[in-house]
Amino acid sequence: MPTFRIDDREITCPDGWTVLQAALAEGIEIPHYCYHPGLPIAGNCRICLVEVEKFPKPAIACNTVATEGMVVHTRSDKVREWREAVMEFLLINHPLDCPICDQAGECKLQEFSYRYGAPTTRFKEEKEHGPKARQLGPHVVFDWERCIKCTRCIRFCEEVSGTGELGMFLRGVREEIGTFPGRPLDNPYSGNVVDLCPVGALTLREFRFRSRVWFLQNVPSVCPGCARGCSIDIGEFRNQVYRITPRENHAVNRWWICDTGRLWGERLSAARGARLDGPRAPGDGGDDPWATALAEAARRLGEASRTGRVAVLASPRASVEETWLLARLAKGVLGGAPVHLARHEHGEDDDLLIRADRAPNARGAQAVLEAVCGTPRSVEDLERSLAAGEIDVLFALGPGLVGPVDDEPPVVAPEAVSRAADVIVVDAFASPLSAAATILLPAAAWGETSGTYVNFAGRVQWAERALVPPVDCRPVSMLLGDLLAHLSLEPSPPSPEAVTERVAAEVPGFENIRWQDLLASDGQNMAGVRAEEHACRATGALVRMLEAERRASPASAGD
Amino acid sequence: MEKVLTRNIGIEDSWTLRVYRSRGGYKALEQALDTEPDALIDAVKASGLRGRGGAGFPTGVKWSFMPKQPTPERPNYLICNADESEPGTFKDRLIIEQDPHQLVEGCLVAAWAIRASKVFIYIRGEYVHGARRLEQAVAEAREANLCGRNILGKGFDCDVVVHRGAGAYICGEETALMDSLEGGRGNPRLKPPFPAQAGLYGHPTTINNVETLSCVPLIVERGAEWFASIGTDERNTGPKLYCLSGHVKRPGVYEAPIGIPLLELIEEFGGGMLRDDRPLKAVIPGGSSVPVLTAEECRDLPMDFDSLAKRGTMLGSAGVMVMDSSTDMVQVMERIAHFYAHESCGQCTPCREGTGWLEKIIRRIRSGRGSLDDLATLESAAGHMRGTTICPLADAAAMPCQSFLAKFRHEFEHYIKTGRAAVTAG
Ligand SMILES: Cc1cc2nc3c(=O)[nH]c(=O)nc-3n(C[C@H](O)[C@H](O)[C@H](O)COP(=O)(O)O)c2cc1C
Ligand code: SF4
Ligand code: SF4
Ligand code: SF4
Repeated sequence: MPTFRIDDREITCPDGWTVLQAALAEGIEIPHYCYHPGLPIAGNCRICLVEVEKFPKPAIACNTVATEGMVVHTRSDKVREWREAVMEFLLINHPLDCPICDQAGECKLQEFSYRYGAPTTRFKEEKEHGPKARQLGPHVVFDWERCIKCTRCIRFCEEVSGTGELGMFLRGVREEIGTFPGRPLDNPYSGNVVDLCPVGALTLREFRFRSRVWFLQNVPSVCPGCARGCSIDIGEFRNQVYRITPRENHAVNRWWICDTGRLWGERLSAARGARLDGPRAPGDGGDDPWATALAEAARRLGEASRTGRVAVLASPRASVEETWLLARLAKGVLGGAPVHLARHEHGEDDDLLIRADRAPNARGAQAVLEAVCGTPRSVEDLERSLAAGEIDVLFALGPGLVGPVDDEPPVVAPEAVSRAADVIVVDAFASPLSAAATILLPAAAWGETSGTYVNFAGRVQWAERALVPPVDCRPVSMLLGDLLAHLSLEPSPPSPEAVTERVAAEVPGFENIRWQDLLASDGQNMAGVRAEEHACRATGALVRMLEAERRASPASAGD
Repeated sequence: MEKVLTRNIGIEDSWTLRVYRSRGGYKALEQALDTEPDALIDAVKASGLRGRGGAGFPTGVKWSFMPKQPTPERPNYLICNADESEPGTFKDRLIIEQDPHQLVEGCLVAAWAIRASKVFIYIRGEYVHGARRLEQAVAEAREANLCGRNILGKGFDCDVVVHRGAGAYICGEETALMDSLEGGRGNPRLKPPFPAQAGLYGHPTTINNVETLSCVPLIVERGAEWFASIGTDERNTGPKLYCLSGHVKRPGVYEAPIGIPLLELIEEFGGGMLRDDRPLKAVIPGGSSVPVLTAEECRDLPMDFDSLAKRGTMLGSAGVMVMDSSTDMVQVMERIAHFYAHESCGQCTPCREGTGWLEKIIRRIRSGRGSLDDLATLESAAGHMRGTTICPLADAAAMPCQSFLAKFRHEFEHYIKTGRAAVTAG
């Protein structure tokens, strides 16, 4: 644990830390472009040059290990001059496309130029020119002129996605990022290079030119794509998802998300036609179709509960709160009707983020159901009961609560479903199940409600509502609350937050969970869970090992 | 002085093992293999030999950084830097083409001293002929059990691999060379780690220039004291090859004791200035990367590491480029700037952007569209390239620029004021 000085501050940091790491941890800004905590050190941008006493030359803070007694200056006249010089070098050939550049507003070149650069330029020559929109892969577009050659994108593909599609070609000022013949930048994590790019050189094809970033409201949420439940920000503007970006969370996804999650907004808007809108129930809907549908659903559920020929299907795509209300319904109103929990497993886990379980809350749903109405049964079990003709009414939270499901097999075999006289479905996007519904209660989809999700490793996170649902769709918690009220068991809960408080009081594992703490945070573990162990694979294990090794070895001379 | 480094050159079939052996070749290797490696390192230290590749780092000291107990999992490597791409430099080529066994023997002795099990000779791609000669020499040596397994029956295993580069100046920088040798793009690596800790394939590596390694058998054979007795002082020792080019009557590679006065080199070896009516104007004494000297500064100047350093320049690769009064110094500087802009690997911001910027400004000045504030910009941009990058290529581009501006400023100003060169080549 060396103790050393940065400017007028005495700092103690762990062994092997660099000056930059220690400074950032202390809240001291040292500008940097190529350094990223999730990538191996490249040391090429040179903007983090600092003055270290007794060093013969300027030192890059990102590759200078802090040692006992070291004295570092980050604000001396010399450092100011070096930074201004590096800024000048970075900008001489830079196009300054800011007015049409997607990065503007969150651009490190703009920020550091404003803070550390000179106000005028001495460059009188013609700038270097190059391709402005080269498609590197299905989602990523490259602008040669804006690139500052920091190699973050290359290092990501080498060390994190492990796919190595990107390389540096040519030399000197003509250097360019590119792909190899026949191997486009096409991997499940390709979009991360866009976030990593400190400038507007890499843009997401789906977001290019769609909105200035300062119009976007970044709403903290949880990705519904799989059981990882990556922390994300939903970039919302005028009730539309413009983009989704990862929110740094070391217990879950570090700095990354997969392309499926990143493009969830596009997935939702492409499936507008599959959106369930407007309740559906037998007979004349009358003036108020919602009231009719809810009353009808309540009536049939009430009847069925007396015969006992009713089953409930829960969904790992529903939030903890929604599942809790469903469990209350099954237990309190339906006389302990059997509850089955759907599963959405496709393919395999990969070694970074993506989980075979394509639902964000299987672990949360399981815990809630277990606590309220015992271990949930399987879908196969449900299919057997249906096939055996034991079920008159099936009450189901559908598979489409978080998005379209047209690329998935039916969650319950349609032949089995057809054996029930009444199928009451709560869902947001169409599926064979909603098609078979006798009563359909269209729900708000993911992003349109707030709620808690528990990832596969027991990490509890809060997703904040980012969008207003379509007029004829209602949040699942509101809808289930209304049904509960209809069946006059308990008053409808005022909000998901109120349900979260009930869950914390009643469900083991959630004792310490408060939605206020979860909001915009990196979440909390369920009691008894150490989710850190399940955090996504640390990046470039080999590289970091080598780096640790070289830090440990004494710096000897050479030339 | 007796020729030692170049003693075999000019002899018929000098590049063959037969001739090399007939002149006492490979005796040093035999002798070395009977000597403790550390004793050899001490001898090289005592000889005062400093690297001939450019930086002049003491060779014995460099060798002493290598681990003493390499394992088969973590072997030591020796690299011979035969990339010779510095403008004005062509001395290694002479040895490679005419006396390759001298180099191979030097490599093997050095490998024994640093306990390396493999030697890689990285030769610039354009040296096709040289590469063939080297390959042939290695094959001959292997055939004669001078290289490979159990060398000369003394239990030392060491093979030599000749690898051709692909035409990038930057691959002469030691760590870029390693990247290139590994099959990657030749980009200089961040230091630390230094090559002796983690070099080629992550293993401890020593890298030496062709001429440096060629000196080693001489030290073994004739003794460190003999070597140290040649030269200016104990820090500047041994025989040296100088590459003489430019406006002299007899350009070429000349062997002389290190520290030979520059003007003597030009007069005695080069046969004097090319034309008697055109006196000496300037000399770049150590390859294009080093600061230029005015004719005045060339007087009483011993061509060794420290004397040149004292005069604000460097021995570098001993590429001595002589320029007479007809030389347009701005044009020379433009050519040098172009070279570095073309050869910068592009990693570091100051080098990638700065080298090109220097070139563009100078080109504009030469086209008659310069202004006086351009000179201040040149000076400051070059200044900001010094010591701020991963490898010294940025310094190599900046130093000539700074020195040309300081010493021949009037020629730049002449272009700016009149749109024409200050000199007219007749
Ligand atoms: C840009 C650059 C190019 C270089 N090119 C060469 C070269 O062509 N040959 C060489 O021997 N050394 C070259 N060097 C120096 C090497 O990095 C290294 O210092 C040298 O090979 C060490 O050998 P020595 O200790 O025997 O001098 C170059 C250095 C730089 C920065
Ligand atoms: S990358 Fe940054 S500085 Fe460059 S054009 Fe875009 S916003 Fe402007
Ligand atoms: S494209 Fe972006 S991330 Fe990649 S090297 Fe250029 S500036 Fe860096
Ligand atoms: S100084 Fe120039 S040549 Fe050397 S590593 Fe940096 S960019 Fe490459």
